[in-house]
Amino acid sequence: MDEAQEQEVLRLLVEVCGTDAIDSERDVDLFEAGLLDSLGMTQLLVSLEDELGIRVPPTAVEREDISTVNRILTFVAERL
Amino acid sequence: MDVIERIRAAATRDGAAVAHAYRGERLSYAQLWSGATALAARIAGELRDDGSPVVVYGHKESSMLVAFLGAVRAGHPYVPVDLSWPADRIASVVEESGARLVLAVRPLPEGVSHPGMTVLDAAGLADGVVPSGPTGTPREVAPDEPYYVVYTSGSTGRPKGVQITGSALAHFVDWATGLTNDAGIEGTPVWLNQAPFSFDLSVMDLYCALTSGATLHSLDAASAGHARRRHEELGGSGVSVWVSTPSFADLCLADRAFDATLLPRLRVFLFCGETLSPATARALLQRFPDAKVVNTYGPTESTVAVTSVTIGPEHLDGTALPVGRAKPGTTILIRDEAGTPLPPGEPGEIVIAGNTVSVGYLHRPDLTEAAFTVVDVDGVPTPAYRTGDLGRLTPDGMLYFGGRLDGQVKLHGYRIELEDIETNLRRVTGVQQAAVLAVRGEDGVVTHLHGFVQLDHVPDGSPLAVATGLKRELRAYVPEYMVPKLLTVVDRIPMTPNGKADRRALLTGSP
Repeated sequence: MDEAQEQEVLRLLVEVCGTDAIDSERDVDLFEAGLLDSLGMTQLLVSLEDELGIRVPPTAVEREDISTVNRILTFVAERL
Repeated sequence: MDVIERIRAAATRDGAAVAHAYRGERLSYAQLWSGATALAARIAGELRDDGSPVVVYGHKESSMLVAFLGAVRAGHPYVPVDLSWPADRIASVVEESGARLVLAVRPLPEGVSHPGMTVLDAAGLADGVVPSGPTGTPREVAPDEPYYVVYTSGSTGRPKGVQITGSALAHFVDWATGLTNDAGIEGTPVWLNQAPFSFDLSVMDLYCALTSGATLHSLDAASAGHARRRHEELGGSGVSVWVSTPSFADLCLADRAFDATLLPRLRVFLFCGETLSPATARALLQRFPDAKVVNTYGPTESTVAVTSVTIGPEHLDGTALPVGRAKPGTTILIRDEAGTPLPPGEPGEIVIAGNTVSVGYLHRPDLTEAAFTVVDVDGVPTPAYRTGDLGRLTPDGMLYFGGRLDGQVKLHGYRIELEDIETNLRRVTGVQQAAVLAVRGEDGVVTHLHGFVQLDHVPDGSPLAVATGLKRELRAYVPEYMVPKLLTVVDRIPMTPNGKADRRALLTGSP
């Protein structure tokens, strides 16, 4: 994943979570922090597909796979 | 015919038919009826025949249905309380309602107790296990007596109980069941139950199913929020009538595999609880070419819903879908601030008059008097409810919803008073002052809540960690859906000259 792609993932994530505070705390559990829920998770997957062409059906993702910023970056990097 | 009679008739007609399907559980009509018979006798041995409400606590278990029916067949309205509620809120509902009996389908959380309150283990009701103890001769609730009491967010920070009579419920069910006529449902209808029983949207699926001998298929919160489990559960459900909030349909639509192949028997979508967007309706009509999409509208105070419209191509071009025309027995009035009726086309407060209007808030004559009234409909004095909703009627009686007159918001279908959250936020350690804003998307639909708090001292840690700590404590007082997604600590909550939080200043000053 290049710098531009990482920035794009972060931008999408800030949009879904509603705050850029997550940028500096990349190991915080976003579900526990109340910033991500099943609807937000779905929105994130839709925007990852629209913006980066990563097509992952929601049924193939567990919360644990994308519960922190770092996990989401890894999740995306593995699928680019 | 009243609701209890109709369930009795369904059980007599075909006792082996499935009344409720939940995970692996299957509750037959015979089990539902006989379990309720035994429970009603047990309740009559426990409580005087005083119409005091019975709290039923649990989630989607079949025993919930037996408990509801047992309570009303013993002459007591039931108060459905969902597992997602924190102990503090359950305790305040027990106290406010004056309930002296709690039927615990799931174990009550620590800290819920009240002088004079009895808790009976109701987990085994669906299997015919009735809690042991004295029995009596029960008397069923009469049509003009409350059948259920649903608690909804109150602006004082304490929920208020809306009382719905058996007669109002029967009028509602007559009409709502009819919305599925001519939809081409094959065989015994299966109704989807997604909303928790504490949310009165569930009354639509629960009673339309049970009074017609159909099957209610419940999806629990954990499966609803988990894409793979939701997909598997829906696929095996055979659902023919879908009842949910539009938000839940949006969640499902994000999965491409949510279509007529997954749900081949699905013929009707019934929506209530929040604004249905043209985009959602359009997507559903594409994915389910054999199904019709019905939008409905109504507050808890007039029994779930009172208007309906089948969404067709002619509606999809506009920016907002209509919410429909009044059902038989209901009259919709649009009035100005002084209560004067407005001509068609003019926006004003929606007032609902008719045979499904609540008899008022339980033990709250002050709130009842403020919101309920009697209006003249064709020369007949008719009970009416002032909704606090804005709307307009077209000359041919089509209603369009236009937002709220007060601080009430709908988030994913849940009705929330912002002041309820603010009051509870002030109970959190260190919080001196709090204000909550509803943040809306471009289409005007609330996407999330943003809370602002003024603390007596800011604890160590990043803003995110501080906010997470505050949210954790707030969850002890309010259900999860009322916890603001964003919480910002501010030095001072700006106030307007009349002493209220200045929402506009907060919004523009927020990062």
